[in-house]
Amino acid sequence: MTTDDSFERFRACAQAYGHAMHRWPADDQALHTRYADTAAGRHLLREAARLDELLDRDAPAPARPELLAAILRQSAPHAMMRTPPRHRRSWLTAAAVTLTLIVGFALGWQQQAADEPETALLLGAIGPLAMLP
Amino acid sequence: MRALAAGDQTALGRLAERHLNWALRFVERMVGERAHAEDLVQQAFMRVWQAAERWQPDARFRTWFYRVLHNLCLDHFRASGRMETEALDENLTDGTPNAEAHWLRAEQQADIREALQALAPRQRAAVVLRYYEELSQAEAAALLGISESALESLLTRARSRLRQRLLPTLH
Repeated sequence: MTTDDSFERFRACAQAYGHAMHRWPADDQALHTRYADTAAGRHLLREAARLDELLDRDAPAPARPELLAAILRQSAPHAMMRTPPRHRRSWLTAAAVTLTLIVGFALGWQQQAADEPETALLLGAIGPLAMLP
Repeated sequence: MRALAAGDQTALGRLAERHLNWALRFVERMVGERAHAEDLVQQAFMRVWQAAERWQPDARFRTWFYRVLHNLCLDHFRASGRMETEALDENLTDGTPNAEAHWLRAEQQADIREALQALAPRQRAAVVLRYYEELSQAEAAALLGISESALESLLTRARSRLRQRLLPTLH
């Protein structure tokens, strides 16, 4: 890049990104350092700084606490309707299958106990399981 | 986001506390009016809440949320057809030095908002993302779906228009 080209690039950056070097693309920041102390460079940066200074006067107020409350209020009905996430759904499925097997096994054993009295003794221990829905 | 995906509403509260101010600031500068900005930010957080289950942990929340907010702003532009500018409250001038200073600041801020709103939406987005939000050139270009050199052109044109409009009013 010739000196003319690099100064044109410096001008383009000042016009697009303003006075502050940290806003310039990383690849062009060396040009800021190179021309900032030249008369032409100072003039361009001063012009850019005038606009920056004006833009900086626009300072939106922070959010009102009511806005946060409204966001939470709005999400509440959706929270109640929410289906559990996939990983929790798979745990629930596994738990339901296990419970069904236990109850099925207990009921089957209870049926057998009607014919075999010694099995009825064991049923006393697992009786509560058989009562599960 | 994992807690949010699990339906934990307090996680949404924590997320909103952390991101609400910058999101509102961004949208307010984009649409030029606080009340509309608040509505849009509320909608954006609802989208976060609804999309949390599908969240990809490799995506950066802030980048994704900028996109959500920007898209909502574009929808708002399409629906409204034009931008409103913030009205000045004339009652602020009650004659006291503080009130005058406050009024002057409000007037300058209104001028800046008006100048921003007079830009084409893409030029305005370029200025807000690059100048105010200080996104990198690559991030801002990706968000707008344009090349980095196209972003630079938008910025050059936007700043030129802002200069023409604002510098004669510099106090």
